[in-house]
Amino acid sequence: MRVPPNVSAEAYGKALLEFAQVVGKEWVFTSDEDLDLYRDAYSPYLNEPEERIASGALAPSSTEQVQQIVRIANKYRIPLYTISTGKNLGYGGSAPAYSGSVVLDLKRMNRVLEVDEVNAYALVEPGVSYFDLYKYIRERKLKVWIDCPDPGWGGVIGNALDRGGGYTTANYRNHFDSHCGMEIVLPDGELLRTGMGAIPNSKTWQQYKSGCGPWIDGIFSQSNYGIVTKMGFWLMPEPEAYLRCTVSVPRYQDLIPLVEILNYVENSRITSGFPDIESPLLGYPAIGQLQLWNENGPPAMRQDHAQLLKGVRIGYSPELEGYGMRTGIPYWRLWLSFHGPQEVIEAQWRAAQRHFARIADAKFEVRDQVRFPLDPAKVTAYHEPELGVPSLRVFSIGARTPWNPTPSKGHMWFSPIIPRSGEAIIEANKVFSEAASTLGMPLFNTFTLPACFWERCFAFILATPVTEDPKTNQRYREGFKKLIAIGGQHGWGEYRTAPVFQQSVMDVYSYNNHALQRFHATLKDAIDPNGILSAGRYAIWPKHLRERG
Amino acid sequence: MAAQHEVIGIASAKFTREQTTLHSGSNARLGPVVSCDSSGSDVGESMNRREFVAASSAVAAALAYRPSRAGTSAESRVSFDLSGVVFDRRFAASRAFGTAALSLNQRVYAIDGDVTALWTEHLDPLWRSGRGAVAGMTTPASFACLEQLAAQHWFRVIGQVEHRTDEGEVVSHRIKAEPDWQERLCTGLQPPAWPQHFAAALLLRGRRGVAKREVQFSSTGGSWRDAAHLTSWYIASRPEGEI
Repeated sequence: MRVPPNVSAEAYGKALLEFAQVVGKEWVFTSDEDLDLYRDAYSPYLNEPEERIASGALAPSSTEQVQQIVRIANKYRIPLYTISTGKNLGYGGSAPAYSGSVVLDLKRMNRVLEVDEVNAYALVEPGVSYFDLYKYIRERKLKVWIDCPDPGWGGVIGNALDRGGGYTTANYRNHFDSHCGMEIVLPDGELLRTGMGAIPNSKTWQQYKSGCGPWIDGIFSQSNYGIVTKMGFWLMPEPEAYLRCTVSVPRYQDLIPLVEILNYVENSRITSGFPDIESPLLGYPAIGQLQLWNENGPPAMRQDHAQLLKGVRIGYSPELEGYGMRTGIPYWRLWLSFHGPQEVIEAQWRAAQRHFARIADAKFEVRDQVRFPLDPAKVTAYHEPELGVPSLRVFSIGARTPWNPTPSKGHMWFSPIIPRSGEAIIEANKVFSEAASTLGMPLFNTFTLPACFWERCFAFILATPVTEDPKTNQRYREGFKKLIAIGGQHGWGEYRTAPVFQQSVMDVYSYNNHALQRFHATLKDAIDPNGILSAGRYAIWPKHLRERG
Repeated sequence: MAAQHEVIGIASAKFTREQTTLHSGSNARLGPVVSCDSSGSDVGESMNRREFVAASSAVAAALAYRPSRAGTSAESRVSFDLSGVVFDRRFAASRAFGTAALSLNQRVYAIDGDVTALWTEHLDPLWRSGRGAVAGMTTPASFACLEQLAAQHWFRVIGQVEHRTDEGEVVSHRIKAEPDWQERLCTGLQPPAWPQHFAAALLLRGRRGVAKREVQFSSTGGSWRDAAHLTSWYIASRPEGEI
């Protein structure tokens, strides 16, 4: 039997017996076969001694059981590591940040407690997946949408606490921002409700976020100060109609006004759907088109076109631009979407075109017009998450193919936040493509376009492969850390990362001699003096482990 | 005499069903085929009579293999404990696997890479009950997704074979399973019929254990060149007695 670090086998045995009395012995996991389920399938240390693994796992079914578990963990100093559904692959999965911790698996706490159609909100437990919530809403024919990531297999609470994003409108894409009210088990077992939930018999827990006094919800995301056992979310009323359109522009430098105008039309709410940029000329797809590429391969490209791509630098060559102008293949194409009454979204699209028309030779096209409710049989014609429908289709990638010759075993997401401007996209491509080339990391082909999950910035997301070769993985890990540091030198930091890189990422947030990390440590010592909760998560270590270095 | 077999297809997508009939030259009683894809094509297109007859022969050959180990009863070798078998209709080798499973009277699910409908309509409800082993031959991506989804209900992969086709017709098979099961997977393979062999040998569940080992061997690939990179797998619940 595995034993957590710095815990005697005797103490651990006693703790396991007490845990079993709380959750039932069938929900205490200690065998290798069971604990293998909590390995990170995309671990960059896969099968190496440094891979972070669990010593045990517990699966409570109620908040009261979580409180009792926390009290027992304090008694025996058992390090716990909380997961909801543990599906954030590429960012750590179910594996603990502090190897040897006991995973506190909240999947059995999977009740949708409330969905209010009139005020458009939901209250859920941490084991509720996006599929669960979607199913609950559909079965009751409620006219509200969820906003889900892609794939949609993860937990609603876990994704929000990890600050994940989705694909519908700006108000809902940022999953942490769209939450309203939490219930938290603190490290000493105390139960806390935030916002209006702090009022007994509150009538507005999921309707007003901050309550009165300091708003503390943020400290429970990407952290280890408590265990969130309930969380409210605002949902999107089902729109009457949906319009998806494209703006295509012919020149490399058009990227700059394209983003500038996008920012204006989105921040003015002329458009609020997920904006998505592609480059037909560089052969770089929009996120919404990726699954079609996975399934069918990229659109055919003429040989002379493909030949010209070999001569581009930071996505540009005058020859390629000239080729695009002659053949009518746009350098950039922006996908915009609109949700609402038909007459409103048509007017919004007309207004958007008026603004984008200031770019010479811009071309406009309506791609999709949908009335809701949509026949479920037709939803697969679209990128499902943009219609609030969870999907696993991202995994429908074919076998080894000419466009995917060497499928990897997984990936680590490198995802710095960069400014929302065309200049920043070009600069990030220059900086990171040069660095990746020097480090021998296969991150760039011709160019990378960022994701537009957030309203005021871009997430620049690169997949670093995880392979079966430990030496290659070691090289990629070291390269990944150098990319983090290089990003930091340019004022860019990651929005989220896997546990093995969390210290490196947090070291970039170093303003005033790491004042932020020192504040995190101060909070940790005050709230969790025994350091039992999720040690090391986002580089927040309890005092006894900080002192051991 | 032609037997009639129930086939459940989903006409154009994931949410509607219609019943059709697939005729076969075999007398074997077939389990249903459930289409979980969005191709809109009839299930019968992915399993024709020729494939079914070929699969039946190959499966019979594979089942003829009898481990000489004392104490292995014939009953344990031919009993199945499966709730379903998954195949990817885009690949001939996977179709052969599915057809072989059909000839063994298993309930068969057809996908086209996407496992969304398979998960939401079949596997999630099944695994919520805590029971129901499922096997299949799919792409590694579909398999990886199902492996993660299985863990949602504490189900786990207890047997796995990675098939890789390199240049020519040589296919390498990397097997990860408990030793007894591994022996059955490795032995008695008639090279061109390897998809059917692995269907028969994998679906006959082996004794499970934590000491999974890996072994790799190669065979000629026959006409399964589109099996460029497929994985066969067996997902089961937590060992009985632990829950």
